[in-house]
Amino acid sequence: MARWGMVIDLARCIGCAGCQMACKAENGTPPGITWCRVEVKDIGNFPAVRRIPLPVQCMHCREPECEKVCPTGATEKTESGIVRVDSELCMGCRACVLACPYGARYFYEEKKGYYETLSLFEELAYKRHRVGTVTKCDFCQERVERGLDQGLKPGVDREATPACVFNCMTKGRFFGDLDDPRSTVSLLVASGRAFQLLPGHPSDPQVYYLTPGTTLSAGGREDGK
Amino acid sequence: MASNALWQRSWGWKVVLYLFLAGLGSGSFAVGAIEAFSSAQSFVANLGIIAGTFLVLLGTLFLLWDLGRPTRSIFALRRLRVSWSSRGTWTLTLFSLFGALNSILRLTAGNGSLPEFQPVLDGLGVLLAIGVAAYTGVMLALMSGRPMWNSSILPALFITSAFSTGIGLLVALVSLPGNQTPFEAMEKWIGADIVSILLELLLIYFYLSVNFARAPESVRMVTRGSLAGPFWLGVLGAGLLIPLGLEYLNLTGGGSPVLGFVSGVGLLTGGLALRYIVVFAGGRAPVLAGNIRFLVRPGV
Ligand code: SF4
Ligand code: SF4
Ligand code: SF4
Repeated sequence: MARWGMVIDLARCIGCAGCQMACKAENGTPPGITWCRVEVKDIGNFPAVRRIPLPVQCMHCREPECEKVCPTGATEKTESGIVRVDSELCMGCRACVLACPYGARYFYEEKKGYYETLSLFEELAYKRHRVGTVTKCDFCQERVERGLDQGLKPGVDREATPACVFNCMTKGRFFGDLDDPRSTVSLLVASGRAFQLLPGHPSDPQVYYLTPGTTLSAGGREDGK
Repeated sequence: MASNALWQRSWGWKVVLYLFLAGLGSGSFAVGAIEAFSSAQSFVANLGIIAGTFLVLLGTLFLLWDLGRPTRSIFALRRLRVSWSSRGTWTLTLFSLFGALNSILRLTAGNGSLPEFQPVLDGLGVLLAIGVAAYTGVMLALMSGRPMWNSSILPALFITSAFSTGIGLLVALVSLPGNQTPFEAMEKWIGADIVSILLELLLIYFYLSVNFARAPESVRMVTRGSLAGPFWLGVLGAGLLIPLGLEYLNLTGGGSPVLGFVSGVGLLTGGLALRYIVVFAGGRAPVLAGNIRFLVRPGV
């Protein structure tokens, strides 16, 4: 069984939010729900300033705090390491939203679209999102599994790879099996450039980042504006 | 406003009310049940147990109302083995069932006709009441990303406040005009409350000073920012210092039912303000990417 993971290269990321839009298109998430987002922060002191982007999403933690807190069992880690929410079991208590240290979860509060009436796309796409439950990135589980059924290789073949990964225009996102030492993601994780968010946190994210290569000390405002 | 970035927004006033009512109810139940060990059917025993059960049930209604899918709340019993939220649901369910049974027996029994197993029911109720008061604190204390919650002091603070507000409620009710029970019957509880107020002051001091080391912005939000009013006036003033003074007067002979009533109302106000502050100060800590702190926005 594979152990899916992702690597995001911050040296390549230009903060275009293409992944954010690709995820929206792939998963049809309603307004206010952005499974994949790009946070930005200004660092350095004038004139040596720089705006750095940080794409974030569910980290598919090996020890997910969201799963430990969930009273219903709606949140569960699958065998392949994907942390998912069963929208038939979730009672919308939001304990998991609060427990996730990475801000990856969203409560789907009310059904409304981007326009006055739901577009045809929204009509179809919103069917998988249940009002009153919590949603988040599922590593494009359906897409990956459909690809696997067709004999494709996730991370290599487009049809088996998460939308945010194959849509990245700088080719800064990678997906694959972390249990396979020869997969691109495993090689990148072993490259010495990889790090996880919240270093030392026991959740052990399966989304890794590659350092941007330059260092500037953090400054600017705390709210990232 | 910079401090608002650390405001918690996933849980709102319904959860604040639940935490307050569940604490108040379990505290009042515990006081009533302990009183019942010495005089099984005294006014304070009956009142504490019946009002306590009712208030916990009322709080539970707010909790259910807050759910996205209330009809699925039964599923919350499924993960007793790992989830404190599920353990809490079990505790709350058992407390409600036994509390309701206890209340019905007390309401229907004539003088001296409580069943023989009543002390067992009362004792079990006290244990479950402690569970109801504590589990939310444990649940919040385990949320590693939220410095104001991720503190082992929180369960102790919740238990102490539950006990103190429970006493406050009973003192206020016994002080009401026309009540047959002499105010002196509450003296030992007023003494116990002075101890718990002093303990609570100590716990709040440690809670804030320990958190100041790791989340100064959140602590400043409580002491000087958007939560300063409820903190200084509500928790410290109305909830702890004024009742402390009035209760001291009551014990040293200068007191009266009126002062007792005022201190009781103050204790309740403080208990509500404490839950309000804890809930809304529980914003998520910034996520560290290398040496850079990102404040992540959703589900704040
Ligand atoms: S990032 Fe958050 S939601 Fe995703 S697995 Fe980890 S704790 Fe759960
Ligand atoms: S909101 Fe749903 S998935 Fe999250 S903890 Fe509650 S029941 Fe579990
Ligand atoms: S893996 Fe899929 S669901 Fe997750 S952020 Fe990428 S596109 Fe969205």
